[in-house]
Amino acid sequence: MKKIHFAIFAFSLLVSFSTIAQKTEAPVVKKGHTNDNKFKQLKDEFATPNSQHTASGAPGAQYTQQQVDYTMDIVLDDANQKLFGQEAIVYHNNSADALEYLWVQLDQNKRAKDSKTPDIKGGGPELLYSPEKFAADFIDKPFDGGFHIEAVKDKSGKDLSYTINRTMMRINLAEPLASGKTFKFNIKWWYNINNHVPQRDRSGYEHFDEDGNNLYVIAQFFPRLCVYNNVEGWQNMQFWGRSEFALEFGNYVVNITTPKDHILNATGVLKNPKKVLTPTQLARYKEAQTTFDKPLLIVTQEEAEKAEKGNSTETKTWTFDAKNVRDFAFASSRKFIWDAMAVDINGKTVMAYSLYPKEGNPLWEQYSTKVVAHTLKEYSKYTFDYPYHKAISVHSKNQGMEYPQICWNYGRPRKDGSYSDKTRDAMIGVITHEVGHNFFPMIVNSDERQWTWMDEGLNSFIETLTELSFDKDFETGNLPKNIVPYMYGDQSNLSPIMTQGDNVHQFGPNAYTKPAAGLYMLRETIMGHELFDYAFRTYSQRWMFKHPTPEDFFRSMEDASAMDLDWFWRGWFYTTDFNDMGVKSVEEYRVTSTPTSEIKALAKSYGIPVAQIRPGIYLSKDSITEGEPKTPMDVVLLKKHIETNYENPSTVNIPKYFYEVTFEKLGGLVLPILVEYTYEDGTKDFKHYPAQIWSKNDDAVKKVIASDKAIVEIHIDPNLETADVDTSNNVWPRKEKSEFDLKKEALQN
Amino acid sequence: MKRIAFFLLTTLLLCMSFTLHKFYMSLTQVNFVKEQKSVQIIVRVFIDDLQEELNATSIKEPIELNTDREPDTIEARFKSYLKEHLSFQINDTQEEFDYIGKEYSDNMAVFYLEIPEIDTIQKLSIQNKLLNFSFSEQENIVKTKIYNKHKSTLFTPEKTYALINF
Repeated sequence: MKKIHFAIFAFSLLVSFSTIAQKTEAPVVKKGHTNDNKFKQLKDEFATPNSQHTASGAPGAQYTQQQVDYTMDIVLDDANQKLFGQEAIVYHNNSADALEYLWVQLDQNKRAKDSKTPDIKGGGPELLYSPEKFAADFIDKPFDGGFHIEAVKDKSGKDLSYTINRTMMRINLAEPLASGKTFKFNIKWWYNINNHVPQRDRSGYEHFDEDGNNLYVIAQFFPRLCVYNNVEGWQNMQFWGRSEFALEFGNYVVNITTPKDHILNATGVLKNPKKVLTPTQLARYKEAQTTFDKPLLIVTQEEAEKAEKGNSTETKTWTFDAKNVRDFAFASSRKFIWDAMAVDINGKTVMAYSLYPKEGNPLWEQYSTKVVAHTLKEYSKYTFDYPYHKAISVHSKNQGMEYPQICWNYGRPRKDGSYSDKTRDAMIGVITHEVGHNFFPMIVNSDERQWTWMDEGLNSFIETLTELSFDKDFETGNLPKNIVPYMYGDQSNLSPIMTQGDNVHQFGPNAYTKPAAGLYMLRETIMGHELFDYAFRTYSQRWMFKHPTPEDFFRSMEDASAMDLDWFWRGWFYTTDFNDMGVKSVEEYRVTSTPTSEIKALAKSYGIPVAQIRPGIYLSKDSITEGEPKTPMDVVLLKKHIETNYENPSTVNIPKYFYEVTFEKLGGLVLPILVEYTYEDGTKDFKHYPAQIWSKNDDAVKKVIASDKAIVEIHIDPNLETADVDTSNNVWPRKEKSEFDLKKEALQN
Repeated sequence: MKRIAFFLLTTLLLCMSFTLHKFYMSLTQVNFVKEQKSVQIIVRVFIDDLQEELNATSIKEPIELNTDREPDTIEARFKSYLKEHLSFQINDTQEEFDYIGKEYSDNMAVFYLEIPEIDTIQKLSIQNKLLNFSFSEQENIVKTKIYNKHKSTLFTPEKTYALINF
C-alpha cells in the first residue's frame, strides 16, 4: 500500500510528460540551449567590476576623477550678437595615467558652416515650406555659428599645437602630462550667437520685435574639457546635437561684461552685487536672503519695462565664483524681472530665483520661484541636501534646458496674459524637471553623451514624485500607465533603454518616460518605499560629484536592498519587451474523498486497482457521485485530522470554495502578478505574487485559491501599476459589456 | 496660408526637445462584434498633437483643445477631421462610421466610432492618415480583433493604407 502511494506520486510528473509526448508526437529535441531564463544574472551584460567601479556599485579604492578649473573673461556684444571669451584652464591629472593629449569640446561647432549634423539627417522634401524655411534650406548660406578659435597658448604665452575634429579639439602636448600633475593653458575665442527659437537650440537668444531687445540664454559657450574617466578613457564622442554632455567638476571664476542696463544671473556666487545692482535692488537682494515665505522682487516689472526701452552703450562686468561645478551658464537681458525667495534645506539657506520678461507674467510671478523651492526640498528628501547656494529658473521660449544652478524653462501666457491649466502645468512640470537636473546629472554626474536615461530617466522619476507632492492629481505623464502606448507600439520603432542616445528611436519615451515609469513601478510595486528609497539615496550619495555608470546604479539598488533585480533591469532596460498578463481560466473545485478521474487514470496506467489507492482528500471537478461528502468536514479523513490536531476543532475555519486560476503571460516581461479577488459579500483581497512566480514557466502559471466565500471577480493589476498593454483580458469573469458599449451608453446619455 | 506654414514649421522642428516626453503616435482599436453586427472603433491621439494638426490643416483662427477656450463647435470639427483622415472599406464597400463621441483622458483624446449593420467581414482595408500633416514621424497603430483574430498594423506617413483578409 505504501509503495503504491509512493509510486503514484513519484511518477506523477513523468506520466504527465509522457501523455503530452504521446499526444503531439513532438520530435526529439536534439539541440541544447544556453541559459535563456529571464532571471539569469546580468553577468554577460554588465562590465566586470574592479577597484574603480566595485561589485557593490560604489566607487572603489582606485576610482579617480580629473578636475578642471576655469578663469574666464566673457564679453556679450548685444548689438552684434557675438560672444567673446578668454579662458585660462588648469587641468589636474588625478588619474594614474600619463596623458599624451587633452581633448576639449567645441559644442558650438555643431552650428559651424561645415557642421555634419545636417548631413546625417535624411528625408525628402517637406510637405510645405515657409519662406524662411525655404530660404534657410535652399538659398541662404549656412549660419556661421561655430567657434572662431583665435589662440591656444600655454601658460608662458607660447602657441600650443592643436587639432580640431569637428566638435572635438585635441591639445597636442609636447610631453605627456604625468599622473598627479597639472597643465595650464589659455584659449581665446569668439562666435556669432544664434537665435535659438527657430531651431529650438539650447543656447542663443530670443528677439522681441516689439521692443527690439534680445533675451540671452547662453550655454555650452566656451571650450570645455572632455571627461577622462576609468571606463571610457577620453569621452570624446562627437556632439551631433542630441546626446548631451559629459563634464568634469572644477572651480570657476567668470567675469561677464554686458550692456549696463542688462540684468544677468549665472552659475556661481555673484561676487560684486554692489557694482552691478542699484542700491534699491541691492537692498531687496539682501532682504530676500532671509525671506522664506514668498518670493520678493529684486527687479520689478516696472523697472524691467523701463530698462527694455533703453539701449545703453555703456557696459558693466558681473563676477561669479563657482566651486565644484561641472559647467557654467548665464542668462542676460534688459527685459528681466527678477524675484527671489530663501529656502530652508535642513537648516541651510538656499536661494530660489527666477528671471523672466513681462511676457511671462502673470504666470511666472505666481509659480516659478515657488516651484524652484518645492523642487529643491523634495529632491533633497530622496537624494541628499542640495549642496549649492542657489537655483535659478529662467524664462525661455519653447525650451527647457539645465545647467548647474541655472536652467531655462518654457511657459508663456497668451498675449492677453491669460493662460490655460495646460500651459501652467507644463511650466510647473518643466521647472521641476530642469531644476531637478541639478541633482542628476549636475551632481550625480553620469555621462549623458553615452546614456541619456541615466540623468533624464532618474530625473524624470524624482520629478514625478515631486509633482505629485505639489499636486496629487498632477498629470505627470510618467506613470506606468502612461508608457503603455509606447510599449505597445511597433517593435521596429523601439530601442532598449540601454542604447546610446544618438541611436535611440523615440527619444522622449525611451530616455525619459520609460525609465521613470520603471523606477516608479520598482518603488511602488516591486520594492516598496522603504527599501527603494534607502537604496536610491545610497546610489545618489555614493556618486555625488562623481561619474557613475549604469552598472553602478543597478548594483547599488540591489546591494543596498537585498533584492535581486537583474530580471527587472534585463526586461525593462535591456529589451523592448512589454507586459501583458491575463486571467486565462478559472476552474472551481470541491473537497471530496472520492478519488478523482485523474488519479484513477494514473493508477490505471500503473495497473493499480482503484480500491488500492490510499484514502486521501481530493480537490475535484468531476460530477458529484452519490453519497459524496457535502462539506469539507464530511470528509472523514479531514475531520479526523482536525479533531486530533486542533485544540478547538469547532472553531477551525475550513475553506469551502476552491479555485484553480490560470494566469497567462502574453508579453515578454516578467513582473509580479497583482491580483484583486472580490468575494460574494463585496469584500476584497489583494495579492502580490512576486515576479519569480514566472521563473520556471514563462507562459502561464496556476494558483489554487481556497476561500470560505465565493469569488465573484478576479482582477489583475486593477490600479494600472504594471504597464499592462492590454487590460481587456485582466478581469474574470469577462465583462458582458465591452469598454466600447459602456462608453457608448454614457456618451449617448 | 501663412498660418499653415507657420505651424508646419514649428512642428517639424520639434526634434530638439529636452523635457517634452514626446512621441508621435495614435492607437486605434477595431473590434467586430458579430452579435451586434457592429464594428466598434476606439481612436486614441495626444490632445496637443491633435490641436497642432487641426490648426495646421486649417486657415481658421487657431483653436485650443481641452481648455476653457475650446470652441463649442469642436465635435463637428473632430468628426470631419476623422472622416477625412481615417476610413474603412469592408468587403470592397466604403463604410461610413458614426461619430459617437469623445472623452479626454490622461493627455489623450479618445474617440468612439461605430460602423453599424455589418454582417460579415472578409476583407477590411484601412486608410489612416491621422496627424500625418504635422508630424513626419507619426506612427499610427491599428489593432484589429475580428473573428478572434488579432492583428496589429503600423501606418506611417509613407504607408497610409493596409488590407486585411479574413
